[in-house]
This record gives sequence, C-alpha cells and structure tokens, in this order.
Amino acid sequence: MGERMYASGDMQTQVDKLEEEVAADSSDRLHRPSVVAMLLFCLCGLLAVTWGMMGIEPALNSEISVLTRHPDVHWSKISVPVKKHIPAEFSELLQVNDTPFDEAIASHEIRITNVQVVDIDGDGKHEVLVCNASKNTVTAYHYRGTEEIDIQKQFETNPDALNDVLSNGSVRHKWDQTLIGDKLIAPAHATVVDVDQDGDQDIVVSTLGDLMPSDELIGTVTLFEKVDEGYRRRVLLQDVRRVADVQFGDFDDDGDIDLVVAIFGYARGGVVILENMGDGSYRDKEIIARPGIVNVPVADYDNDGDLDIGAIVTQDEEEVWALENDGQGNFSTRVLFMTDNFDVGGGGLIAADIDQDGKMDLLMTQGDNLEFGHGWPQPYHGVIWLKNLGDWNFEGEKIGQLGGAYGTAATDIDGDGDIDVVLVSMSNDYANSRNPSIIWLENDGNKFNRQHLIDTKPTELIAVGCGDVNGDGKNDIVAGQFRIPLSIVEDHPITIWIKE
Amino acid sequence: MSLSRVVLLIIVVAELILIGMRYQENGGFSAPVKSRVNKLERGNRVAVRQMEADLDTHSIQDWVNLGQVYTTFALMPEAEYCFRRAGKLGNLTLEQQFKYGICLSRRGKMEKAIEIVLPVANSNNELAVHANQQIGFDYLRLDLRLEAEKYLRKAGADPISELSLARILIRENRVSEAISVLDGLITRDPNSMRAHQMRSWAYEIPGDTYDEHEASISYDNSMHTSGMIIIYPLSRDWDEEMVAGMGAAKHLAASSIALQKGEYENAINEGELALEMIAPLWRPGYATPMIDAHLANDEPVKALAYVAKWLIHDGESARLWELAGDAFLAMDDENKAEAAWLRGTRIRASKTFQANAEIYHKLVQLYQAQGNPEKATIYHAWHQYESGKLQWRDNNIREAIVSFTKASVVLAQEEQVWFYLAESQRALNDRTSARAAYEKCLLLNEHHGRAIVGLSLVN
Repeated sequence: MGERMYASGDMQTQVDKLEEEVAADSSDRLHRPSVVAMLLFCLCGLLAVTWGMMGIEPALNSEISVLTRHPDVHWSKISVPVKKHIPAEFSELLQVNDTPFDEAIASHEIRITNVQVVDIDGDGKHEVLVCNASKNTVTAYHYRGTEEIDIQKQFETNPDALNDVLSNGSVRHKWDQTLIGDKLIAPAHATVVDVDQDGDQDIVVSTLGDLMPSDELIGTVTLFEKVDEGYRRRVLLQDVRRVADVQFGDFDDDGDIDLVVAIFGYARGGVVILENMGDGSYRDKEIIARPGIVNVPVADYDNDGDLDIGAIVTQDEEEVWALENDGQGNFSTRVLFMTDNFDVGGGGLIAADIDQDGKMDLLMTQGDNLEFGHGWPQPYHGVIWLKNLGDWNFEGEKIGQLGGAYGTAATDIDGDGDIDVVLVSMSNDYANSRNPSIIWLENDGNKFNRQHLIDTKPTELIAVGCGDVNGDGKNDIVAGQFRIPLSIVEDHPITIWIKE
Repeated sequence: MSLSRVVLLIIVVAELILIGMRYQENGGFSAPVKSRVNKLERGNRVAVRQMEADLDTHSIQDWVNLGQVYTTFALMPEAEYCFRRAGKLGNLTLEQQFKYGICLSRRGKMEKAIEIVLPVANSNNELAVHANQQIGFDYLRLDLRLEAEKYLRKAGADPISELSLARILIRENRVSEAISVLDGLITRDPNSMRAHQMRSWAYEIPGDTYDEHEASISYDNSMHTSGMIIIYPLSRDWDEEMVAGMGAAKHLAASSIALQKGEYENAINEGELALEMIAPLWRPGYATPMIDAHLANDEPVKALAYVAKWLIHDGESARLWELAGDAFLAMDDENKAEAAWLRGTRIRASKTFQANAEIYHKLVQLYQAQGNPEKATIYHAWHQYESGKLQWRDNNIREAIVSFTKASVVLAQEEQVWFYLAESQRALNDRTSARAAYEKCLLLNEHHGRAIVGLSLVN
C-alpha cells in the first residue's frame, strides 16, 4: 500500500501530464466552441436576420428623381402674410339678430392663381401682385424691409405670440398691401398696363367666374383704371366663358392699346381681341374658337415690326398656336406645336428669348393632371422650349422634367448672363416629402442638362414669378400655392425665395 | 449534447416557427407595403388602413382590391406592388388584368399597361370595349396616332372613342372620314356640342373638304348645344364608386338620402359626420347639403352659419346667395332676403346654372307678395331672359325665342336680351327678325362685336 501511495516519479509525471491535458482541454473547450455549436449560433443569427427582414416593408420604387441644390446658388425663404378679407357689405348682410358676423368661423381656402413681381405705382420698386381666388381679390404687396422683434418686449406685451417669435426668429419682414379690387369671382390674372396712356399703370383683371370646370358664360375682363383716389373699376367684357388671361398691344397700329383675351372656358373657348375704339370703349372680335386657352403672350415672333399673339390650346387638344398680325390688326393662324397626347395637361405659355438670339421663343408647361382627383406625375410632365428658328419655324424640345408642373418663369438664376428657367409643381407625388415643388433648370450654352432643387416645400404651387422684391438688385422668386382640397398639406399662400 | 447546444437548438426551432408565422401573415417572404396615406383626409385614411389590416395575403382578389384603392388615391408604387403580389399568387382574371393595366397606365407605364390589357381587348369579355379604348388612349399618350386609331375603332360606337378618332383623322388629313364619324355622332345626339364643334374645325381645314358655310353652321350649332364628351373612361366611374363607398362620402350620401326621405335630423347628423371626416379639409359640396337640411328642418340660423363659412372659405356664388336669401326669408327678414338675392343676380351661376333664373323667380314672388307689381314685372322679365338662356344652352331654340321675346318687351334697353333673341332667330333662319334684333342690340352698343358678326351673317 505504501508502495501504491507513493507512485513512482514516472507515474506522477504521467498523472501531472494527464491533468494538464484535461485542464488544457477544458480551457480549450471554454475558449474554442465546437463546430456544431458555431454552426448553430450562425444559424440563429441568420434566422433572426431573416425574420427581421420579413418585417420590413419593401421599398417603394419611384421614378421621380431626387434633386439636390446647386452649391453656389442660395436663397432664404420668407412667407408673405395674407390677411383675411371679407367685404363689409357681406359681413353686414350675413349678420344675424344683431350678432356680429363672426369672421373667425372659417379661413380662406388657399387659392393663389397668379403672382407677379412688377412695379405698379411707378416708384421704381417692385410689388408682388397677387390674384387670390378664394378671397376674390387682387392685391399688391409692398416690401418694406425688416425689423428686429424685441423679445423681452414681446414677452411683456404679447406672450402668446412669443412662440411664433421663437420658432420663426426675431427678424420680421414688413409688408404693406394695397387692395386693387375685390368681389372678383375667381381672378386668374392681373395685367399691369397703361391702357389709357395717361402715364400711370392701370390693371386689367381676367376672371374665370368659377375655378372648377365650367362651360358657362361666367368670365369677365375688368379694368381697374388708376385715378388719384385709387382705382376706378369698369367691366370691359362679360357674358363670355371663363377668362384666364389678358395681354395688350397696339395690334392695329392706330396708336392706342388694344387687349387680347384668353378664354379658357372648358370645352369651348377662344381668343378675342378687344379693339380700343379710342373713346374708352372696346369692340370684341373672336379670332379663334378653341378650348382651354390659358395664356396669350404677345410678341413680334416673326420680327416684322408688328405684334403677334401666341396661344396655348389645352383641354385634350394640346396645341400651341400663333396668330400672325398683318400689321393692321388682322390675324392669320399657324399651329406651332401639337401633340396627340391629350393627357399632357398644358399649364401655361410664356414668351422668352431663351437663347437670346433676338427671336422670341415660347416656354410651355405640361403637368395639369387634375382630371383624376388624385394625380400622379407623368413622364411627359415638365416644360417644353419652343425655340424660334425664324420664319415661323418653331422646334420643340423638352428641357425640364417635373411631375405636375404648372407655372414657369425665365430669368438668370446663377448670374452667368444666360436665361435659366424656374418651374413649380402643383401635383407632384407629395406623399414623398423629398419630391420637389420648385426647381430651376440651368442653361449651359443653351443646353439644359441639369436641374437643381430650389425647395420641396411648400407644395401645391401653381404660379411663379421672378423679380427683385427687396430692392437688392438680385432677382428673387415668388410662388403661389393652390390647394387641392383632397389632400392634407401645410398652407403657405405666398412664398418668396430671396436670392442671397 | 451540451447545454449550450440544446439552447441554441431551441432558439433555432423558435425562430423557424416565428419565420413560419410571419410567412403565413405576409403571404410570402415580403411584408405588405405600408402605404403613404398620411396625405389623405381622415375618413379615407382610416378606411384604407382598415383594408390593409383586413388584407388576406393569400387572396388574389384582396390584393387586387387594395391595388385598386391605391390607384384611386394615386399611391402608384403601392398600387403596382399589390398587383404584382396578386400576380405571384396565381393567374388574374380578365377584369383583374384590366385593373392592373389601369394602374400601370396611370403610373405612366403605358407600354406595359398595353401589354397587360391586350388580352382583355382581344377577348369577348364585356370589358373588351373599354380595354380597346384604354389601349387607344395609351397609344395617344405615346404619340402613336395610327396605333391609337386601330384600337379606338375597335372600341366601337362609343362617343368618347369616336370623338378621339375624329381628332386623329383630322390631324391625318383624312377629313372626310372624320366628318362622317362626327355626322354619325350628331345623328345619334343632336345636342352633342363637341361633335358640332369638331365638325366646324374639320370644315375649316384647307383642302377638298374646306367649306366655310358648313364650318359656320357647325360653329353656330356648337354655341347653343351642351352635350359634353370628355375623356372619362370606365376607371373613373370605378374611382367614384370607390370613394363614394368610404369615409366622408358614405355619410354625405346617407345625409342626402335622409333629406330626400324627410328625415332632417338624421340628414344633419350624417352631414356633420361627413364634415368631421374630411377635417381639417373643408369643401362647399359638404356644406350645401347641410344648408338644405337645416332649412328643411326650419333652422335657418344654422343654415346661415354654413353659408357664412362657405363665403369665407371659397368666395361667393349665385347659389350661395340664393340659399342665403332662402334662409333670411325663413326668418321673415324680407329685406335681407331681397338683398341676398339681388347680390346673387350680379354673379353668373356656374355649376348650379339654374341659380340665376331661380333667384329672379324668387324675387318676383317676393315683390308680388309685397304688392310691388312694377318690380315684379321687371324681375319677371329678367327671369324670362335667364330661362331663355337656359333653353338656348340646351338647344331648345323655339322655347328660347319665346322667352327672349317676352323679356324684350320689358327689358328693351338691355343689349344682351336683343343679342340672344337675334342669335336664336338666326339659328332658325328667321333672318328678318334676327336682323331687326341685332340692329336693336347695336343701337344700344355699337361695339358689340358678336352682334356685328351676327348681323353680317344675316345681311
């Protein structure tokens, strides 16, 4: 027994060695799991990832490009405050049982139909002239600079408004406004022109009579003649279908200012000349009978010294016409552009010499898709440049893509001396907050290969204008919102992007 | 087996079960899409979310229904996803294929849409006509005119297809064929304004078919007819049915039905629910039934509250002032009723185009009740004039002449009365009477351009 208890040296060594191996083996087992365990662990991970991915909603592919801002072109965005306006006779009429008419029971729907940056009072400063088709007004907004809000004073005098100051900043832009006219049923456009040639600017307003589709005889042309005490109002044309635009020119070369009227109507429309008879009266004459005339830009398109008229025909016809003046106010017609695509949704037509070659071109937007209550941006939405090649040859080229495109303006955005194009959208896919509502197309050697984002909000923009709002010598951009009352978006009736 | 391996095995089995459950729920490996309904009004948003929650991911029809809803609300990526999921589950019926095609078409994928819809167009299914029309329109959107013509012809004697076909033929310079199509349309519906209109354009085209006289006749006919033909395919009917069956529209419809049955409280309750469901949006179409219901329920003050809100929100209209006048009359405030109706006479009625005539009629009744025959006579004449315009509008020329003639006795100083009388007489080829009426119009306004043109046509 003693001999067993006292193992030989070799036996001890073997035992030690065995213990070491067992210890090492255990240690190994602790720090190096078995292959099976590792495989099971990996499988767990894989199955967990699979389960997780099965819960992720698939990405919805959209063909709408995500745009970025130009690195060297910057704006700061401001809103123009739009006050409520209810004519006094209406509030008096709707008063009930001596209870004052409660204006707070509702707000105006946001329906800006036209915005322009234009000097209406001849003081060398531009106003923002706005047609509002829910207030039924034409209003000029005068920019009066900025003021710093004293936060302490605000807290003491009007603590309720303090939140507004804290969210929007302490710098306020000041505005005055001049009501040009009210009780205009759905004004579509206001044209500034010295119609009576007495040295001041009058305003001619086109009214639709109803924003919604209607073929009834509800349109008017109303003159707001500038007088010392404001404006004197006179209807120049009525009992016609919805009027979308009025422009001007001395078409018959008799020294006075005639007017040309775009009758949009619905299924029936046309272009009418209001010939100035020299005594303040006007004679109407229909030149073409076509539906959906949105705009009638006037220019000397054939460079023969007289004023011609462009006209966009929409409502399934989708053409651009020219009315060629013979110099005496007689017009012959030419079709400059047409498409069989009844769905393009012609939104507007403006005249601009995009390539600055002395021949006036046309820009036509495509993107009105309100036939369906909810529209989807189409691949053919955007803007077409109808390049004037001379001798009544116009070549159409799509230079910009924007779903739901509506208003357009031409101006030098990047300060390189050429004409760029601004485009706004009323009905882009705004369920995706990254989709643009206002963009600009960069002119690079009369090629438009790049589009840049200006902003994604506000949405549902229908009208745009360019000009120097704040008097700093740089062209700003103004856009008007037109709310489609089927979807929920933020209200911002008039937004200005001040060029920095 | 070691404890850790047992644990891992248990985890694996549990995960496999969870994956299986999720597969069952999804109807596959892909999760259903989460739609971007945030932009919709509340009622529709809730209804769509409910449809999503109730979706049976193994049902082709459920996927198609959901796809159709998304199509209606222009959530196009969502819609296309649903139709693709439906297709993965099995073959679509012809109707389901047609709906898929509409989805693709609205998304701007016209070529793919045509491919999907073609089997429907080539079938004997009742949707074949609509499918051919849809394909025709998609080819027009691709600016492929001659392909469009093929399918629009296959759509048969459908006014929408025929009008589009006529336009193609005019642009192809096959004007006599276009005229033949349009003449067929007019024969079937003499009040078809758009057919008359396009016929006048056809005759203006230089060439063998040019005929100034025929163009002029057709132009004139288009001025006193009202039959519209607009591109309004079947899918838009489906949109309307879809929307009418959900959200606020359901309550609006219930309100109208209750009003017709004389259940005024119910009509008001349903109308209020409808307004709640579109909040924060607001539409006058939801206010007018409330005004009607409150007036019917002898609650004119409440009706006026809606009138006021409508005025501020959307601006004035003839119909608005007509209803305001009705409310004031119900409150026995004849002065305000008169003021409201007089204001309404200064606004041209649009959607509710009878409103001008109706307002004048109400003024006549008011003045008669007040014992004011002179005013009653004047406004009766205006009512005659407005009625004449409604008759003229719908191609009832003889009736229009009667109305305008009566109006002209009292309103002899109104140029428009003589103008419309002249136009009506010229439409019936009564040149002598028309000439006299045009001359009276021009005596009142020598620069009335349309009267100048009309007079030249009868001289």
